[in-house]
Amino acid sequence: MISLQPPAISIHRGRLPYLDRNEGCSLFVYILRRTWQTIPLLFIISIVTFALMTLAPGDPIAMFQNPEGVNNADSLETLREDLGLNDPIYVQYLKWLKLVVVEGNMGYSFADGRPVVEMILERIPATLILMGTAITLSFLIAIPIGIFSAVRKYSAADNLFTFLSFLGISIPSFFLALMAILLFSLKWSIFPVSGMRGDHTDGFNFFDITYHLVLPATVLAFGLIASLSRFMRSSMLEVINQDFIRTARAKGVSERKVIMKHAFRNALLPIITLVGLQLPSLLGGALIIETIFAWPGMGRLAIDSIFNRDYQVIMGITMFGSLLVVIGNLLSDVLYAVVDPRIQYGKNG
Amino acid sequence: MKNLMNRITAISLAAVLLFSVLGATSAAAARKGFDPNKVGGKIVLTSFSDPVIFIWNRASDSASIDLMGMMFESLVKSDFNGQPIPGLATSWKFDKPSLTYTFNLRKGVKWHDGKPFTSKDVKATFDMYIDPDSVNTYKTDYESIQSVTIVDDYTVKFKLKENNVFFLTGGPASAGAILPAHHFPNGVKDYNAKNSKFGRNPIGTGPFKFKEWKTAERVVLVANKDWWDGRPYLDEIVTRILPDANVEALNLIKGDVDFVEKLNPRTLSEVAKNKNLKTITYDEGRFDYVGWNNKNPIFADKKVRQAMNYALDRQAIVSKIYLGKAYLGTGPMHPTLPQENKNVKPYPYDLKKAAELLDEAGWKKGSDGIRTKDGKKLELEVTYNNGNTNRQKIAQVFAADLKKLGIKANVRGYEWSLYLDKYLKGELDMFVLAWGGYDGATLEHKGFFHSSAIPDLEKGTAGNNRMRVDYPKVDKILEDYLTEEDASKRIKLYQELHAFLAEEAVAAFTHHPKNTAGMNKNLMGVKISMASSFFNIEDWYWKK
Amino acid sequence: MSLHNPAIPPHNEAQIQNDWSMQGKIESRGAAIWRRYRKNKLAVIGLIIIVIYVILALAAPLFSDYDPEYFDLMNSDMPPSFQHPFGTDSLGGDVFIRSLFGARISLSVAIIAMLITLVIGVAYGAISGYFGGIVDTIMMRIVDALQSIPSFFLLLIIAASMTPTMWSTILAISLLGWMSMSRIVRSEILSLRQRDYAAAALATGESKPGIIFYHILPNAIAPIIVIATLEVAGNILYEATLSFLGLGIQPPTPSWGNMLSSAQEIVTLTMYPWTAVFPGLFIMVAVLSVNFIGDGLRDALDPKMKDK
Repeated sequence: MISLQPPAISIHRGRLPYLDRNEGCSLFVYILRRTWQTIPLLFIISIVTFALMTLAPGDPIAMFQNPEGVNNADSLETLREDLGLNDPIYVQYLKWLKLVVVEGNMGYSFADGRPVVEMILERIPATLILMGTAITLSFLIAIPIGIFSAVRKYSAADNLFTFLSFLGISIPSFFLALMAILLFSLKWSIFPVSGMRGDHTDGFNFFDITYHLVLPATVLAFGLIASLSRFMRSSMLEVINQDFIRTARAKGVSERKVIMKHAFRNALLPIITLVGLQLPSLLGGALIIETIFAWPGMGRLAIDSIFNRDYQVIMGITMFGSLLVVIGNLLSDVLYAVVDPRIQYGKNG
Repeated sequence: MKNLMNRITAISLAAVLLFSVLGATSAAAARKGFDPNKVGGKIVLTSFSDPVIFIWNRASDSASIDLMGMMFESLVKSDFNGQPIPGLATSWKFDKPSLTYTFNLRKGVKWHDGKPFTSKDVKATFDMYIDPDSVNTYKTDYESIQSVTIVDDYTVKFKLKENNVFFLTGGPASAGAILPAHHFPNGVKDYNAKNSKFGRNPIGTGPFKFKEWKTAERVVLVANKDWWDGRPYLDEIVTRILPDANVEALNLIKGDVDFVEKLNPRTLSEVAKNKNLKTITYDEGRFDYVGWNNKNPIFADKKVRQAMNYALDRQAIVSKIYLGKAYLGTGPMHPTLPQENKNVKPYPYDLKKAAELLDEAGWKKGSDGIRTKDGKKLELEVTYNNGNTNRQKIAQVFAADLKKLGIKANVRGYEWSLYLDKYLKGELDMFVLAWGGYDGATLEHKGFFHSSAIPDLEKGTAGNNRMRVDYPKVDKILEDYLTEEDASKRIKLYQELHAFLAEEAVAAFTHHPKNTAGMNKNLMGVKISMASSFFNIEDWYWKK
Repeated sequence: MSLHNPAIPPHNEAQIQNDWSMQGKIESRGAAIWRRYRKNKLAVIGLIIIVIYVILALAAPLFSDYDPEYFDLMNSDMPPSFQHPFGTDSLGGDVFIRSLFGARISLSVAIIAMLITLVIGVAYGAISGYFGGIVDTIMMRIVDALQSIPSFFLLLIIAASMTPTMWSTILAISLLGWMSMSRIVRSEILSLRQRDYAAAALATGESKPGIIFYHILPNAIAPIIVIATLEVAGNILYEATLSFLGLGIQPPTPSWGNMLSSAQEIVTLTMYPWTAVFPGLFIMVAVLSVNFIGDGLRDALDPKMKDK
């Protein structure tokens, strides 16, 4: 959410590179093709991340050192050798690639020797809950606002919403989060300060999690609401001016019906793509929010592993995060294609 | 204060002697003064990060060590002052000619899984610690052990290679927690295992048992009702993983957390306002300093080093950054310990004197106001590790003073991994850091000031003397201290060391913090020793 | 605008005739843009605020004798007063002076990062869009890959991979922003190169790079300017967030981000709120203003893009 900017320009102009040819094929083949295309994608991601990470100054061994206590230098050197940190970088990468491709394993954390896959899988549900709630919340709030603003264009309320949405994207998310905690947790004692569960709740307790979810999800949704409502507004305005709406109006269909039935559905289409596009930045924003609210998702793991230079964990999270985004994009494209009859699946561009 | 400390030390020493002569004959059903009315309740603690692993000596992070300290025990425990008292061993005997320690083990102790504790566990544990392949992070601490042999089920013998006066305090007997042999059937292989099951489901003998660990959320321990010294009062200890001191304080004030080990001095006023909270101030065995590479040509000159000491406004740091919650620093010995030399006074804040010393050292102010010598400008980077706001403040204030002296001082924060890496390589000009983890009995600075501990990357040695302090006299004192058996002579040695280090100005010792723990006002019985915040966790209880 | 066609012509024919490369007409076009821009009151206010910001930032040393990196520990946490209009922070630094010098840093970071983004993004997008075919496919697939990495994660990895300085912050932010810029430039080029004038230029034997730079890019400039402007707003926030994590501009050099993040302790927020409020306001107003300007520019540069 940090990077959310107002939808200055229709976003689908820059995206949907796969949907601009007209050679027909079935949805199934289309999905298969798209899935196949993600393999080189993930390959590039892995090289880029690995290069950036290992070229970075700093030493993974530092995390075994006690800042204010006695350290044992010799065993640290042994550890470095054990972890393969003395190999050239390309050897380290190839070893990692072999682990992933041949053994279907993402390696082990330097810190505690746990399998990376296990570490990530135990964190993903929390992140998905947080992001899913934030996205749903922003849809529920932003779309009515967007429609209202479009129908009552330039009214006082529209101007207010416009201003608010600009405000929404102008506040650093970490600051908003701290303010929310100060007001809603400390001052008014409505919501818990941090965490996902009460101290005695095990597994999935709907009410408990919801209670803990309110603040972080709202803060995360804040920027998305701002940009979605703006986008919904302009999308509605675009649709309202199209021929079929004019025709419907001319035919004497009631204004309410025109808006809710005809215009709404068509205006919603590009929003689906927008959310797909926002996924990477939303996931990024979730990392910060998770850190502040001590939400047990991938955020803390990501930030800790970057600071600790826990290479295999960084690789694992990047790959999982990217995969999540790729899947999200695929879903939104497919959804778009299914909903919009004008689209035909085609060869990639 | 000091006299009192000495007296306490003397009394406990006598107690130890008594114990080791008589021995505790059987496992007590309940410890002295046990009050059944205090039993019950849970407490919520915090940690900034998940524990790394629950295998002793494989983790050096405080979360792992604190929690393991509640679940595991060693042969010898430390009392409030760090003096040895019986733990899993009821008595011990040292035979000097043969360099052999004999430990009589406590009978009737059960592992958390119900299996009995015997000498097999002790031998297996130390065999894993001293194995050449062991990933034991603190292996050098165990180097004095030649072998461990079982005499019978409840007697073990440790044969040493050389005498180690710290064997019982801070050394293997007190720092080597005993692991259950039956969970490490393959010995060191299981100990080193990458994805160890034991590491996340530990079994110990201590007052608390492991219950669950939800990554990034919490670790839960429950009372070991069969503990040999009587059950702990608390039923449950929940350690919540919270990202930083700010969030931790928020949770404490909100009442979601019951105990916070170290409050930032600035948050104390907020905590004080809250009627449900109280605080305890305690000493921690450590020293904070602004250090530099003593081999750096700039700092090779004693006058420059002393100038740095005069330029540091210790009093302002203590009164404004720590809000009075610290002792002024004069050297590496904590002021409440006998090893401190009372005659050493902190360098006063005197910029004029500092300027004179720099002039004498040949660093003269140029036309641009920057000091130069042999055409080289005096430019220094004052560094700290990111996220540590107090260190950042010290660095900023110090740099502002250096600027007044005509030194081009830049402040820079590094994240931890980078910071340590540069520190190791001697690439940092000046660094704000701390060192510690000692109490009166375990204070020992060989690893920090001895010339053999200077890291040399070409030779592949990487000791902790990263300030590169190198004096034959210092080496000699540090070595003698380790072999001198007369406690009062040892104290004299370190007092001498203290004076020498201060005179040579090997670093600018800033302060020793007085920590403040914040807690629910109904939480009783909390005692915090210099070495551990959870020193008597079994005696903590809730006021009913 | 139709929804399914990604390549939407951004300009009408009249504008193409008024191409910016045709020297004599610049004046009238500029005036037209300004006339349209003026109509958007928020955009005008945003512009005024940013101009004031820039003046303040440039003139910062004139306002006081206090050095932004001077700390008077004995006068820390002082409330706003005549001497210190915004009060002092926990180290005794003057919040007003630090905010002004912070404006220098924060705005420079945001703007320089945008310029770097612009150069990389335009060059990459132009090459990809003009050559098309396999070059385009490969180049865009790389962008796809980079854009699939959760953006803040990428930012963190890049930022953590350098020793934090002002330039590392700039580099980290700009390495993140160029991908979307290149996409937009590419799709503009894709649509524009089909146009008659491009074909005509090719027929007259002009070189391909010449066509891109002299004929196509000028026509794609409107959306590029808008995106670039909005990116400045995002960059200010990125700087703040990086500083929050300790990876951005390092104190004592003041930036709005590190001022705000060093004021995040609860005591500071509840008892000495001015240390957080002023840098916070500076950030918010700056981002808001830049967003307004971007919005105004979009309307002014391309009437067709405006809400109908």
